[in-house]
Amino acid sequence: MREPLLRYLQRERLAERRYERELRALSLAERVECGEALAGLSVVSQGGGRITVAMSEHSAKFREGDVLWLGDGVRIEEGLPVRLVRYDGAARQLHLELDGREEASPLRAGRELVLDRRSMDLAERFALAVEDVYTKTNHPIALCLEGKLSTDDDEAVRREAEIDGFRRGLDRTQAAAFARAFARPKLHMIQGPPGTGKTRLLAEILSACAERRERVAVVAYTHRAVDQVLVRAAQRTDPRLVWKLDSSRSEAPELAAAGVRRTTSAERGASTGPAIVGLTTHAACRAADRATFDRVVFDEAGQIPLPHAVGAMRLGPRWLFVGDHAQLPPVVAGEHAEEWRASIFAHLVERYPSTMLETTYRMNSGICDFPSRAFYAGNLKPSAEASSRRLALAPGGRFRDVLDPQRPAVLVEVPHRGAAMRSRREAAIVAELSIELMAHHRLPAEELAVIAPFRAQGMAIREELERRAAIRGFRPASWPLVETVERIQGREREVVLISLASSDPEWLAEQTDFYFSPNRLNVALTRARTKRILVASPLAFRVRARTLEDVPALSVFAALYRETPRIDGASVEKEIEVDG
Amino acid sequence: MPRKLRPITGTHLFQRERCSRWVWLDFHEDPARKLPPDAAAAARMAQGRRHEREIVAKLDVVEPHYPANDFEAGERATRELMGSGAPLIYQGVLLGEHRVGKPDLLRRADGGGTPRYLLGDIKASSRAKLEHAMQLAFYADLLAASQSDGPKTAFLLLGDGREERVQLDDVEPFYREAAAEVEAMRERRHEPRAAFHVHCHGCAWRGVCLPELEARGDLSLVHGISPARREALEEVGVHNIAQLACIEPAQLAARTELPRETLRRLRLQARALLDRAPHRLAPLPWKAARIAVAAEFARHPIRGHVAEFLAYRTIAAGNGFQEQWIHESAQNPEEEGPAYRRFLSSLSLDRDAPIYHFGAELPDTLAQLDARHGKLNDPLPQVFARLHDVQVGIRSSLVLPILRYDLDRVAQALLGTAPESVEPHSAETDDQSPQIRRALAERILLVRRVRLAAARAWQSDGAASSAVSVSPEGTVASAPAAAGLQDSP
Repeated sequence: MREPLLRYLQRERLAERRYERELRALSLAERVECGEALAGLSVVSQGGGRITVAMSEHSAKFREGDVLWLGDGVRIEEGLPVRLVRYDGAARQLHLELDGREEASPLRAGRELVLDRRSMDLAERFALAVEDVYTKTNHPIALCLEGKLSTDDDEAVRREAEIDGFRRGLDRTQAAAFARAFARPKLHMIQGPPGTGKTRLLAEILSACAERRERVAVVAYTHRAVDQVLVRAAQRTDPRLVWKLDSSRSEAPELAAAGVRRTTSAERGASTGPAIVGLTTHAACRAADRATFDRVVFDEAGQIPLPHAVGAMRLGPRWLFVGDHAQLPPVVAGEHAEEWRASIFAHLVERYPSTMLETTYRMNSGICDFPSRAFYAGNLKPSAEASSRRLALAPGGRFRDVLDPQRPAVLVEVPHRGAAMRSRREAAIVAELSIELMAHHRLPAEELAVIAPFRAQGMAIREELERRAAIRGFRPASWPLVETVERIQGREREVVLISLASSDPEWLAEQTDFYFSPNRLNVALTRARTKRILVASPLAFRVRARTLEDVPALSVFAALYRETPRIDGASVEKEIEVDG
Repeated sequence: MPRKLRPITGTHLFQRERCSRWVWLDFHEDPARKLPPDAAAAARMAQGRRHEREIVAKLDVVEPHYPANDFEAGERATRELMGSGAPLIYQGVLLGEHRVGKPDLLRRADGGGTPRYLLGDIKASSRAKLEHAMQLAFYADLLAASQSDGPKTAFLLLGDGREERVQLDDVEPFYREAAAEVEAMRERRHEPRAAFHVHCHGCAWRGVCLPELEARGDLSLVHGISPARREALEEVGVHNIAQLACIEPAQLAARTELPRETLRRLRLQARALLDRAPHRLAPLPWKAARIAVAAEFARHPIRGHVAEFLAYRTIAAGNGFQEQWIHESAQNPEEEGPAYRRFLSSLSLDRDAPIYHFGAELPDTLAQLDARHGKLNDPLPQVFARLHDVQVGIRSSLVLPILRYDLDRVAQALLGTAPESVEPHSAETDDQSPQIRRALAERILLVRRVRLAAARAWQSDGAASSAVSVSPEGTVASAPAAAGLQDSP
């Protein structure tokens, strides 16, 4: 496996460089259009290596943790190298920090700035890690990847740990997963479908590790994912044992509030006594040369590319992977054979038995039913409390048919044709439904989200929201989240609207890998707690497969159409018109 | 006297995936109006027949014997063979109500007790397609009547020698919908509209459909208009090419879901047909280079592996150029990997020279070859970075008075040459390499000529010759194009 892993890293690096070159060849307007630049930014504050900028709209594809250039948008690489730390949607601000530099000259007030994507070349570090593993005969990591590790439980340990799990208030499958994390000698995988309490379970496992005086590394792909686990862990154990390995200068208020301290030293807490140290896969690859732990726990392992995991696995001899290969896979830039695009989690679950958490505490039965059957073989069930939860509505109001709490999942069929990445009719319906929920039914904007497959549709929906709210004299304190699937994984809302946008089956037949990805559909369908409203043209479900490989994914979409109660979108549009 | 209605066959399910109108015409149109296959289709059919003969010759099969076209006798003979537990039956006959199926293979699935059979087809293609699965699902439906339940899987023997299993449960919902539509077409409960698409020029019914479409200037003749877009435009009163050429994109964008830029492009395409001349859109994306390469691959027609790797390298020198051919071939699948690696190595010597090709097939094939034979430190990423798709470049820069942007039609528009006729590969000779190589070389040279002609067309007023034209009344015909490249409004 050495060669395919190294080839993956090499191809990714070259693909990223090529992409960067292609971006540089575009004008600023074109880069903004495709979401790879943000223009019209102004400095709000600067100091201590941190910069806050104000923007009108975050229409770019940038996510927290991305590395960027802050400059004039023309001489891109003469700008300041920064990292996006946090996006404050309410204040329309981006919090950045200098990357690789302590300070910078003050940015001129009133100057309009541009953020451009910057590539981070870490391939060499990961490649060295792969070489380190494969130059040794029968390295445990190599054996693990090849499916050659034993997975027999120590039954005595398992029984005792399961009792401990129940004592901690875990449910049946959580307790089983908890038990195997300690009973399996070297390796275990826990699949955590949406809302199944994966983070809580992880916190209990880490707490138990601390009680056993273990030194544990917690690894995830992004800082946000690491921080979430550490905060929960600090709530379950002595916070003085919990550290974040992080060279960033930015404040991390959630960590500070939880009592999690930050360190730039990989050896912190590793010499004596228990410790829980959180770090990203990038930092873990670097740290593995200097520190060792008793156990390495990977969170969101379904999003960690295989070669990146290899670097972090060197941190210790026992591995626990927590993730869900039915949700979003790793982001891959280059051309690779299918098996090498898989995450470490997807790779390992094909080779070893894993434990799946089966109870969701998020979705009611109406929301959970289809994703459970389509993606989890019917094994995902809502808890008793979640199952019967219903959306609370005020009396009266418009669109009672669509918003009916007794029908948690509905499809509003909008008979449009020929649309590719944007439908104004769907945007209008989504906007009106959202305004009705917020204005009449007092649903907080923070409990509402809209998901669209394309940025163009997201922008159309935001425009319609603002325009129609203004017409109705409605001025919300904040707006609901309107995002693509990639930026919404990990979040949940009381109500989620999904606008599919497209109505050209021939065009969609060219987009099957993206548009009909079962993983993306799963994430979209499982964000809501009590109400999910799909808004789409029936033509979005009438795509003919071009190859047999497309058939399973298209079958899922076809089943979604058949099994979701449908409401005539034309009648919804009439209600909007009548209402003026 | 009304003609007897044909039964539904696996071919109807196959063709429905490509063109529903074909199915309708096959049931209801006079067969005398069918045209013989064009040269390319004839070559594919000959290849398919030869592949099937080769495969069957290696298998120990039995065939049901029955009088020609007496399918009831054929079914009885088939059931006798199945009842006697014949291991492998070739061209058995399965009947249902108004349905006749002749799967290539019925293979006994040993499990003890009453013999049960799996269905299989032999295909020259190296990829399993949905059309193939539809045929198998059709046969499975017929077979279910005689077995206690239908088979859950079927198999395809593909052109590259692989056997691929097809999960019939996966395609069941699609099959049911397709079967219902075919039934409705047969009974005249549903008549699909004709529409122009990529399969039309080789279709047996092209003599029926194309004149109808051309006579009314059907919107589907305009490149970029899918059936959904056609309906969207018709809903707002745009019914033919002449009307499309006169639309106001901003106004129409407000009344449809089509973006303004898309409508502008479609209007330009209509105007190009009307004016019989190309229109400029944007500068061509490629720049002049001292060294340029054009490359293409060809697969072995029977074994399916990449058999010929060919590139044409030109170096500008003085007023002319020097040329060099780079060639590798693989007579059999085992030679494909080494031939690919040698070819890749040769291509990588010119680190910055652009590599031109036409269409997505070359990069797709490169990716497949890499998946099969790739090694660390292969120069493939460098080669990929140098690829330029001439088809994409032309479509982004010029609007040509043609119905589709395939190489032959683009060449016709820019060079004035008639589409090259494809000499069918002889079904009888084993070594087809020289023919394949010659065809490949001709294609590469044509791609180069097209690229240079596009650059000249962008720069000067002297432009296309032969093209398709659209009259003000909206009728479409082939006609010599007028000179003059027009800027887009």
